[in-house]
Amino acid sequence: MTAVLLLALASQDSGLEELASNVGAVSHPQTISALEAFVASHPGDPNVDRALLLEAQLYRADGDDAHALQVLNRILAAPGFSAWRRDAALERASLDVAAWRFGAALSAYGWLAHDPDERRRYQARMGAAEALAMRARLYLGCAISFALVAVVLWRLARARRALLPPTEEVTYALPLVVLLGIAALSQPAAEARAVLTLAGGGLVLLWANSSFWRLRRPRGLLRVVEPAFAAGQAFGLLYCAIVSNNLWHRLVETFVNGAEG
Amino acid sequence: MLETLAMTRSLSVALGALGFVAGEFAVTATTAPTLWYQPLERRFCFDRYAAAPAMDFYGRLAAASLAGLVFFGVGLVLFRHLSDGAARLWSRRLSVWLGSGLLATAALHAALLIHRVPVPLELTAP
Repeated sequence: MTAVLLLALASQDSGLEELASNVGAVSHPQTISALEAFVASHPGDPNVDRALLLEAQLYRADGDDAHALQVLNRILAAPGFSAWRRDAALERASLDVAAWRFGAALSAYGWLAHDPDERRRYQARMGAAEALAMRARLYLGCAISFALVAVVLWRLARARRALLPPTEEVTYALPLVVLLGIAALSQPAAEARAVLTLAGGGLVLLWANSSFWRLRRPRGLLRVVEPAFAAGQAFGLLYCAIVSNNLWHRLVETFVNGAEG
Repeated sequence: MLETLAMTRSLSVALGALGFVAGEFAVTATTAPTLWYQPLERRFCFDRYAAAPAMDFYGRLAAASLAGLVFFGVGLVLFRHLSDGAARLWSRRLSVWLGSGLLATAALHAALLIHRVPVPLELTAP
């Protein structure tokens, strides 16, 4: 997307041509400073919107969504709806989805679904579908989280006499939790949070369930139901860790393309 | 006396094996600096990543062995005066820890290798 915009910048405006051609050669902060200087020195120029859009995309490429949102808001706060402002609206809707502001994103996508440009209409349709799917995943994740917390609290309350010392099952799992914590150290922030949620949450689930079973040993059909329920809890926890850290797409891509894909 | 000594050594060896597995897992899963062997230059370097073609097998093996030795030493001190009950408890714990650690490390290597696409080097001029 950034490359397409760079080509457009270079082909349509000679004032931005030099900046656009230098993006790969200099650092993003330097390009952003140059773009800001361009914006300040060209008030009223229609290319200002393009320069600001590129600036927002550079911020996004660096993972700085807060600054990207500020710049996009600057573009959209100006009166009128140029083609670049419509692209800025698409970009902000994408940021809104990533930040779980689904109402604002769906509203923007709904407006852009009637855009005269075919590409923007397509992107708006795809964006709206993604926002709806992500909202459904988030609601399901919230429901599962509440259910897990309720189960854990109920079991801990029922087994409060057997909570200490922790059961041997908790002791067995401790090294795995430590290994997962070590593995999380060199991961990006979202992945690290997901791994730590999984490790910590799994330990709490194990503690609650094993303490509960120590007092009420499963008999009969419960000997099958309880392990299946525990496996369900583990899958629920995994789902919540993935959804709450916006890792659904990355997980799907990893399955499709492999770890290095 | 001999039995106690044998039990102490056995548990320490198990703890050393756990240290080896944990060291191997930690070095593989993280980007901690490690020893790289660069076969073309025929030299070792100590870094997070290697710029030239290099292999980290010897470095990972050395780090894991060092961790294993440290854990073994800790075990010799920790398991000196254990009662029979405590020895059985630690024997069971170490078996579970070692088994789960081996499984986790094997799974990590499998996950890393399963999608690996080896890129052959160009032949160097004689």
